[in-house]
Amino acid sequence: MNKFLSGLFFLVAFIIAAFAPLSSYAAHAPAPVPETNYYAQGQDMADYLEPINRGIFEFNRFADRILLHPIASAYKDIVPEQGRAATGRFLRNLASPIVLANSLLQGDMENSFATFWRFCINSTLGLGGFFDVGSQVGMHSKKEDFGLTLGHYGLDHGTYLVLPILGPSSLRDGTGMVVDLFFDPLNYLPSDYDYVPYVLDSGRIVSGRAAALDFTDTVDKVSLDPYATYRSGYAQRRYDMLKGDGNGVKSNDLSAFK
Amino acid sequence: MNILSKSKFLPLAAFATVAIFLSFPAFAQTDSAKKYVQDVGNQVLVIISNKSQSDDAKEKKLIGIFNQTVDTEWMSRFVLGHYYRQATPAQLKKYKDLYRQYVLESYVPKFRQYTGEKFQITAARAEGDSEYVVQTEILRPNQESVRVDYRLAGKGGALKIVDIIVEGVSLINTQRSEFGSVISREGFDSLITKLDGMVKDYNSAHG
Repeated sequence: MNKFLSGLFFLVAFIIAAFAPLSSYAAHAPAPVPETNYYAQGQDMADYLEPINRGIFEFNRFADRILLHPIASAYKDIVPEQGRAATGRFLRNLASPIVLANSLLQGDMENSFATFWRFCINSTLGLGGFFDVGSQVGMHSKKEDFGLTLGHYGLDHGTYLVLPILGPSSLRDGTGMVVDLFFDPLNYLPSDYDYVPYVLDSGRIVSGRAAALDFTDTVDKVSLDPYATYRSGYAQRRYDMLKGDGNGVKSNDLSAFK
Repeated sequence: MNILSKSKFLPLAAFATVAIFLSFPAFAQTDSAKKYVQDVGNQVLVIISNKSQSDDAKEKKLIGIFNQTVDTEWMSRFVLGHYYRQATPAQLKKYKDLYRQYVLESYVPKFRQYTGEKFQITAARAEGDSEYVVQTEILRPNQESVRVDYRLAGKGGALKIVDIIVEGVSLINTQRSEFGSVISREGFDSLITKLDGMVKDYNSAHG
């Protein structure tokens, strides 16, 4: 996706979020009042812009139906599973500088170390990141971004935001996405190569959409209110990445579970 | 000297005894929770990887396991949150029955997509005195594994599954947001109508 266009979309959303008369929307905000305290935190998030968000959500569903879903399905049909997995690893490896910057900002030396060496090992022995040799030798890197860094220092989501094309986000995480653009060395390439980020971002969107197909198809089939399902799912996923015991800790590294 | 060491020893021994008595049942219980998930998982895998059975026959057996192991009654109440108290007994009765069918029909047929995944139990912990979370990993060929937690509730030997949490996303918490959104926007009867529609759609598609 066009980075500047999506940045512009976000700025518009940001301005709306920053200057919209919040009190007039407060009546629409769901008040998650759990009966028990089971997982009360992170179950859902405030949604002061629900009417606007629902509008963008419907637009995204339409764009997805006519464009993204067919492209992602075709990609899934044509490229075998190993190829898609390798592409996913390649793209994730290229995002390592963003993860490293945010791990450092959070003072997480362990993840900084693992991310740095995983990137070095995968870029060389892993043939440019297509193979995740780093994780096989114990360099497990948790996913981090500037939204999580802000969360690490106690900043809340603010409000839920649905970004055009990019989907579920929040005031905090959307701001984080813009900041992360500055951490990505690929955005500082000489002008002869300035198409590279666009190619990679298109790849990211298609690869990510293809990986999510099973999940989104299930939600679309069984959800009584997909908008609320995605909002709650996003809130829980981000909470898990921030506070949970999961975030990228996969098999052959079970020490974290005790 | 003798008295001194005795006076030190006694509280220590008492403390150790209490600690052992307190911790032993908890360990035993998390172990039985792990064993429960392992057993149910094994039963399911035996059924779905049986090549000599038709999908319909498999589905019938899986529904049997679902009804025995998933506490849809408790889940249906949790999912309503504070709206539970606002519903009439007649609405609740209808809702609970529809909820059970809705969850069953949404997730049991997914076994048809099975492509040789395996699972392993990675950890378990007690939550309170009658709930347990058993953490598992679904191992997929060529892909990153998926973390799936099962939340179990029930005292003594009668454990039942009350939640499934995939990569930190809980089924019943998501449903609580979803159902709450429908009720607050459109009312309780609309929730029942929507559930009813889902269940009917499924039944007409599957005879």
